[in-house]
Amino acid sequence: MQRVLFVFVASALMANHGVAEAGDRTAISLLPRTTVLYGEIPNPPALLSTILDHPLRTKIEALDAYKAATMTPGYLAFLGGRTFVEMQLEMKWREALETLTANGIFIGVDTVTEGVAILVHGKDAKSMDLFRTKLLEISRMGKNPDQIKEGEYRGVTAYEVNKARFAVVEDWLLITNKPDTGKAVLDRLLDDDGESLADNETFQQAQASRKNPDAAWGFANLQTLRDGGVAKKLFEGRAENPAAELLVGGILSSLQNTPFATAELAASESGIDFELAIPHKSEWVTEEREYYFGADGTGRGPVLPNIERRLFSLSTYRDVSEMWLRAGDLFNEKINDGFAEADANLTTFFSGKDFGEDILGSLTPQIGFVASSQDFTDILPIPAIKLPQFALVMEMKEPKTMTRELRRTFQSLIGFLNVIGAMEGRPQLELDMDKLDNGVEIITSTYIPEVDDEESTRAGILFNFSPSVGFANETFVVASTDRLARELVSAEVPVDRDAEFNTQANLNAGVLKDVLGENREQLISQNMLEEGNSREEAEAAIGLLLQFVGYFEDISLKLDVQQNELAARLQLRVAEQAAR
Amino acid sequence: MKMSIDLERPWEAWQPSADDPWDVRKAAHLFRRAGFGATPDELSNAVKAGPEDCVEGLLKNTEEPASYLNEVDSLANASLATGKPQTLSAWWTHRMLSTPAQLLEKMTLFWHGHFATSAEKVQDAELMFAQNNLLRRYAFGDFAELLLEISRDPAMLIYLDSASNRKAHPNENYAREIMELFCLGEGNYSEQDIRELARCFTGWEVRRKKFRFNRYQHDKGSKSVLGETGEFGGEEGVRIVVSQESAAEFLAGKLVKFFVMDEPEPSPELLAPLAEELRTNGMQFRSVVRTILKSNLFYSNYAVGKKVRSPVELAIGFLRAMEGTTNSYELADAMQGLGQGLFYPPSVKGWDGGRTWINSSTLLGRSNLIRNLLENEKTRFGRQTLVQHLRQLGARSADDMIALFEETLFAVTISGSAKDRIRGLAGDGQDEGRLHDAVHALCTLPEFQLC
Repeated sequence: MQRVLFVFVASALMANHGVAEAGDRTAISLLPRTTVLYGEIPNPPALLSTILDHPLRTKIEALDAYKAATMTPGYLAFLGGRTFVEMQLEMKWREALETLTANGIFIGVDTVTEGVAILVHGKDAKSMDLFRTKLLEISRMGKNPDQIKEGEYRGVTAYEVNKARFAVVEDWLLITNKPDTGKAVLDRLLDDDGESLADNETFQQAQASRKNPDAAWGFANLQTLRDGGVAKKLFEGRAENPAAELLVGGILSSLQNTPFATAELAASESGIDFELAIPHKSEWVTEEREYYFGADGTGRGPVLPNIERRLFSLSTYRDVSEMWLRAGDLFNEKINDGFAEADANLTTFFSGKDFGEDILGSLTPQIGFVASSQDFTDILPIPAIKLPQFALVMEMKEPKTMTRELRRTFQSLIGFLNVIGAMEGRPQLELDMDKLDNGVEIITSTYIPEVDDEESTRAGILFNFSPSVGFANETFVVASTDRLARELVSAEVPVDRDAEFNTQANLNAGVLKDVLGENREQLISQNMLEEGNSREEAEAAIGLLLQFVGYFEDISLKLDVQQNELAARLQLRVAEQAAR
Repeated sequence: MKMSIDLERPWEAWQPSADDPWDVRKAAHLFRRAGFGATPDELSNAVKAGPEDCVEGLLKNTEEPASYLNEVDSLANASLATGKPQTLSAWWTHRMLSTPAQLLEKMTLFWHGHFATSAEKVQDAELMFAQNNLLRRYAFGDFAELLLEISRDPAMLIYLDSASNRKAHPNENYAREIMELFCLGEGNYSEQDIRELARCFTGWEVRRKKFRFNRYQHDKGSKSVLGETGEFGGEEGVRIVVSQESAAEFLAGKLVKFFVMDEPEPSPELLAPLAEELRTNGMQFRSVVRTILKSNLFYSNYAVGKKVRSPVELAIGFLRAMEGTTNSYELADAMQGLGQGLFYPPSVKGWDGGRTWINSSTLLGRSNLIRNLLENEKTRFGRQTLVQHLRQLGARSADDMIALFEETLFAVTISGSAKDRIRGLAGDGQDEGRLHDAVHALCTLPEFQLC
């Protein structure tokens, strides 16, 4: 493998001298205008520095698991090979890599020549020449130096190893899988004329929307891809699955019309930011998808109340009632049959009230979901597996009428669960009701343990739950525990209920670590049975998992719908103490 | 089929001789039958110890150390916390792979097949686990107590539809099975005995996962069971059944089939000394198991290589001999796929065993099981790769590897042509992939299906 790498780099660096001004070009002026996919890392040395100089690296290197991994024969062989190359180059591998990629790495996929071109822009021609000389020497030491085929195009020597072709012009290294793609790039390098990706109007629009010039960036010409019949399913605009529809239905509508997509990745000491964006117009959203963005495209999720030990939160705008009623336009016959059956059952359950119209329709499209770790300090019995508690937070359009309706339905549901539970020998739920100040009301149900199990610390998984509902003016909460329901209905109601984004989700790594830690024994046992590990090995593996999770602060995903743009942003933040 | 040894001395202790020495293969036979298999090191130590001490060692080592018990209890709690009986199969698989008390676990498996109860119907992990612990606690007797406990075991009562047994409608199901399958065998009771015994068990119920005696539903009238008459309750019913002469012979027969040979059916004459020993020892099993494992018959040609490996013996035996560890969930599922799901016996009769383990479908399944074990990234041998482990065991060539497997894992010798084929597959024995092919081929040989 290393030999292949040496040959690859060596052959790639066999420079052909004397092409003037090649170093002044930009990658987008070298790639064909018909490039449909493009990506670049404009400053690899900076990215390397962010990763390699990050304080987290020292912490990871201090882990026993890391130390063990670096002692494997494969890794030791890799280190030996690396040291050999460093000695030949008379510089450390990092310096070599920084020199080789000093001015960026670029990749393009061309539709006309149907090939991929990778352009590596080195520090300068002199440095590249040094690489070429040294690495050629290394490749000649290999077992099969004759595997490199040599050819020439307009005075430029090109090389072929396996199915990859390479050429070096001044401080540019070109790697391609198709001769025609290589020629197209070389023509631009040699002649400095001909239309290039930089002249493509769609690409220019995409570039104009670029936010961070230092970040890794990618572009996809969706119009061309659609016209070319690529990924037909993606551009059909149908999810054919209610869960997927709720998740990405609106985006699929936009994808049917948007001309391009861009991606941006930035890494810093505090974490990673990744964004996928497409141009977006509200008129592209078909009527049946209004439930996703709102009629005028300005639907925003709700601001969620702060809760203790919050593990996960999701705030989203989805008019579920509208989606339910428009199911006939969104899904196929089979799924619609399922909707019809569910609708009939739920309508019966809600005493003849139409489920889609009267029940879902009584709630606003602003939906919140929260989960937090449970505190069992003052609670008995304690379940052996400790699950997080979770709740749906919704808003009622007509709280006066709906509070009564939902309260009664919840009581019926608990009665129904008790009948099923009795048939299956499960503990029974005991209903209770509590009226707090300001008209806040909470209806709880709690599992009654067996007499012998009342103080158990290894109770069944059911004892994670005490299904409850809460009402606080317009707010309606359905929670997995009475404690969370109580916390949510008692929380201060924000003045402005609209959040900034259509959808926003956040996972708190610190709380996740706590939840995993509370179930450590369970995870160790699971690991032993599943991985065949000894207890010591399992403890080490779970310890590593907890330590790793602890290095992060949180991860969040936002769906931002603006007048002309639809963007999904993923952010991973490193924990403060790990960044030190 | 006639016995090849003197029927008057089948249960006398076997004495090694120059022609028939105590060697690795004999020791491996003992460990395959009295447990699930042994590593080359364990076999080497066993050879040094001699057959007498080796059997005594197995019988003595029936209590697991506290640290091990803590570990398996912790694993069991984790499995029970999920509430899924299927996870218990993985737990028991792990226990069989790791227990230092092999004979105890083998006896527990014997009783699981004897008092077959399936989680498929019971659907309660806690009850299945409690029964499993009961079987382990009474693995060596006394049988009368075990039978009484199992008669009140909630999992068993649910399995045999006896969770509610009222005097107006005595449930004959359990009464029939206790005599036919658990204690006496067919022909040793009448239909009238079943009806009368069922009346003894009236009022025995399961409520909230626990046994309960409902005195209002108990038939207090006089009953005549197997020749005894009185106002018997369930306890007396069990006592009467277990005290029958035929009980000891019935159980001795099942032990011989389990430990010694699938075929032929042991004759009453052959079983008589064992039955007598059981009676003499108050239906305690330790002594009779000792007699069986030391006997001439056990080491005779009628026993060695004359049983078909059950899926558990096949998989656990292979892994234990090679100090293997793997994903217990997948292994438990695979064994269930081959017909031996732990906690999931097919019927109240348990597993038929013997030739029924083998058919065209299960042969392919057995081959796939070994292949999956070898290819599974979770499988390690002595915590390392198979090549590394074999090298550690001194097996550096294909011939070394074949010899090691033949001694450790095979009850019968491997033919020369088969060895040639394996040699060709193994190459120089240093390539993990080729070695997997060779070991897979070894373990799919007809000879390997025997133990």
